[in-house]
Amino acid sequence: MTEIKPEKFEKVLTKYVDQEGSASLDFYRGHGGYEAAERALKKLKPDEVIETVKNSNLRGRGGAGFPCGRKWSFVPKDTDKPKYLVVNADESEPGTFKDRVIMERDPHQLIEGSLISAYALGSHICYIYIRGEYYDAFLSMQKAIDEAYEAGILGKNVLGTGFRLDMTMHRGAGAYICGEETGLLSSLEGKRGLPKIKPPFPAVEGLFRCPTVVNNVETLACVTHIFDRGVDWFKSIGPPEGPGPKLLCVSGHVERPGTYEVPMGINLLDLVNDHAGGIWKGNKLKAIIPGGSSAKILAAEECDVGMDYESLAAKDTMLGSGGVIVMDNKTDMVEALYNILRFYAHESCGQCTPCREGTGWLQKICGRILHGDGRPEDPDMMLDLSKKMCGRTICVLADAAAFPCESIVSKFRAEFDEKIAAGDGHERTVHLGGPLVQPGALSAHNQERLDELQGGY
Amino acid sequence: MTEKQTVNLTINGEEVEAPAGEMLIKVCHDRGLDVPFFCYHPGLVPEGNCRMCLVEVVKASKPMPACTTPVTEGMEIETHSEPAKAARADVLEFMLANHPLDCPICDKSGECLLQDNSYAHGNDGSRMVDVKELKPTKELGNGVTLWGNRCISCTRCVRFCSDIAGSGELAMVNRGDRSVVDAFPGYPLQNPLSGNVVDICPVGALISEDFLYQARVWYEKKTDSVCHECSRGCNVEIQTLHNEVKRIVARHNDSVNDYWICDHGRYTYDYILGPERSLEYRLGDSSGPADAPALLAQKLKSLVDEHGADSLGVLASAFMSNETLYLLGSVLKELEVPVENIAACARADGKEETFKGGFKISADRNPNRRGVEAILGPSAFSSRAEKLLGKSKGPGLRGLVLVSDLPGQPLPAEWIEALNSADFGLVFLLENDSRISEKVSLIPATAFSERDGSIINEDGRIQLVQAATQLPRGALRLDDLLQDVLVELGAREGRISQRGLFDEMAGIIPALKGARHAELGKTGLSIDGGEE
Repeated sequence: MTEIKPEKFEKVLTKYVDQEGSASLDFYRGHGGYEAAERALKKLKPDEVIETVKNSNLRGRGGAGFPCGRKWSFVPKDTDKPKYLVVNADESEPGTFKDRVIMERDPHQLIEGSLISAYALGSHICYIYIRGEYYDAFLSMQKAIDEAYEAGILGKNVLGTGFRLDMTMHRGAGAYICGEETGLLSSLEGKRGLPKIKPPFPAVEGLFRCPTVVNNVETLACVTHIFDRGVDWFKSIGPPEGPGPKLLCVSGHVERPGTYEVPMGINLLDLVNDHAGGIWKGNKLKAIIPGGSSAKILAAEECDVGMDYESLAAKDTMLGSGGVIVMDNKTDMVEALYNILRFYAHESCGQCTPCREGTGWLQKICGRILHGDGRPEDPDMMLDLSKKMCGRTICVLADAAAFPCESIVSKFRAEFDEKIAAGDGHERTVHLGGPLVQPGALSAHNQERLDELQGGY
Repeated sequence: MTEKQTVNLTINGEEVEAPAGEMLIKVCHDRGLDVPFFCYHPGLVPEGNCRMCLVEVVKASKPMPACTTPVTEGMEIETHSEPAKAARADVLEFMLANHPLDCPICDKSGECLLQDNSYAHGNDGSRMVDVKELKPTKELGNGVTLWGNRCISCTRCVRFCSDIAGSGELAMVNRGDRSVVDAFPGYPLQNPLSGNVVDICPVGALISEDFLYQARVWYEKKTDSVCHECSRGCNVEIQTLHNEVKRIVARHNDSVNDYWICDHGRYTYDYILGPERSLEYRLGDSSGPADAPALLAQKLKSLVDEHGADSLGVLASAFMSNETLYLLGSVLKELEVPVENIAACARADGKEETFKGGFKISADRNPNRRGVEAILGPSAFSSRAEKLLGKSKGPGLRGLVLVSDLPGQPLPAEWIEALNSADFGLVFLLENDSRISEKVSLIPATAFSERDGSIINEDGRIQLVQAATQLPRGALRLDDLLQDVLVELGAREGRISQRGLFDEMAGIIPALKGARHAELGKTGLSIDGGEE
């Protein structure tokens, strides 16, 4: 493994983000922008582009970490249907805010990466599905696209090569599930953002039932730099099975939360201590969620781990979207879990039974424990339900809710048992319509219904 | 024509050959394996959301839903291994977590997939102690009510409205465990097929107001029959209790109606025991059904003897079964009444509608027009009817027998006039008609749920109609009455069975091409050839 020390590592994705005017085309071109795309489009055949990406071992930065070149190679070559490139800029995983930096501060590297990818795939339409809440990112991205059209970088004759590419932004309306690629495609088609059954995979039958590649913003930005600096440079950063520069978003109880560009494989403790300034207020580390809220939690003693796909998989968790959520020793793990579960219960699309019912059920149990109404059998039940939700649904949202639940309950079991023992248990079992409903035990929707009912009597 | 490709797979250790691309659940069901389901419906596009049909695919890392997994070469399936059974029991536990379990007051109770599947595949208790989610109970339109708490979000109704009816009024609203089916605001359920969503709802979430609290389904008698509201001849099941039709639901027939019927056919049965139903016998000094055949035979015979066979005219209807038409023809043949004196009446045309999923409502609202044409001849409705009406105005025609059994359509005024002025006027009457004069004789007609027999739809398919109810007050069915008249006339020795009657008729009537009763089965037989 090629070890790159932080001081030797040169940032590329965020190299210019803190400079004035970094989002403009002039600035980008002034720093060598679109040269890589021009070289790729003029000198390489589409197959050679795919081969290059394959050789680079670039893995998807969105969450699943699927090898990018392999995904591209699944797109059928001999089809009459149009092919689509869709940029997943929905960035909805809690604790993740890396794509935002790229789109707000350096949007042209995404356009350049998309150009190269679209050329490789033979796609002439590129959609950017951007999270609705990212209004600033939307504006700067749109401005960049407009500039690119004006400069002949997008449109009928890309960079004078005769290649045609149109790029359109589509703003999401605030659903976590629309970050899941098939849910995103449903939403883009104008339907409810419901994930679809795979197979067929989007590469074969995706948007409007045509071959579609969905790539994360950071993945496509990496493509730009692979063609700018070469495969060897890319592979020299971090472990060869999944190399490259990586944006990690550190949030939670650290002195300097933020997005950090680091070499893949950086030690998690180094990231927290050296880059993010260590645990805040001089507190001690309790746990870290390494890859967005869907990743299994790491207890403090497990945190000495390299931030790359393989090392984290060895610890039974994942790099996910790169959202590093740090918790100090004053964190109430029951409350932390409740917060996560509330999110998933709210965001489950409601399609598959185990997820629809399971996410809400887990939230209710955890809420009960938190409010002093837990039962001794509850933690085991939460573990059991988490297990039964995994791998039984169309998409992995159920798994994403079950992973933190299973890992937090099993690793911090004592806190749950303690809360349950301290609560007054069964005496305050929740009765609908009675006066004993715990605050927060009902969803907002049901609380409204209940108020309505009680008001009516 | 290319031969269909097949693949070989193993299901529960048994080698199976199946068409390539067929969904696993169909292959399993065809082999009689109990793979439970909620959202899967053979007439709809599979969605794979209920997760009830999970089966173990050896070599796959997780259980797969049989309804959306196509069979592939070399696949190994375990439908009843411990992991598969456990996966399904787990899904059921989740399914019931927010279900209100109000079976005692639920209309679906007794025919509910959730009950059946819980009994067969579920656990014996629930671990859910938390507050259940509440969802609205409201009207969706067209007499369909949503009981949201019972909804299991299977989207069968949503898919029906968008893919079969093509109107797409229903959608899932809200997310997670708050999700429930609903109509779009301002666009209530209003397609003419909307009653089917009640049939296909696997639980009691969509309830028909027409049937609400009318009967517990396990007490009902269920009779296979054919809808009489247009000439499509959709296959239906008539559900009755205490000799009363409680509801009509669709019955599967790929050659006619798939799994669907229209609302008009579904809800048009009130007339059978409605306030306008005529059940009076007014035939000389007849006291009722017992002496009616003898009196009728005597009246007809004396009329013919006195004024000649040409003095009797008959107007049949396009609602009568083939058997009844055949018997009527036999009676008239026995009396030597000429064929041109027999005509038929039909209901006025409605509107033809074809829906996105291919379901069709015919403009011709007569269930047995083809049968009348086959038995009485093609001109019975047109030229012969006109001629007979003209004749009735002259002195030659002394006796007139009319069959007025078209629901919702009384006889035209000119026929009533002819009837009132005839020496012997007789009408087989379904619904009271104040225009008919006192001296006209009356015999109750047979409504569609009361008859046995066969009818021929517009595509030439002979289908069996079965009696779901009896005529009230011991009244005789028209076909039994006519059989008895034939006995009185000395043409027969006694009544014969429906089967015997059909086979006899099919041997004589050329258009029926010698079809046998035994060949009709539940889904009928085409006399136009081709698709069989």
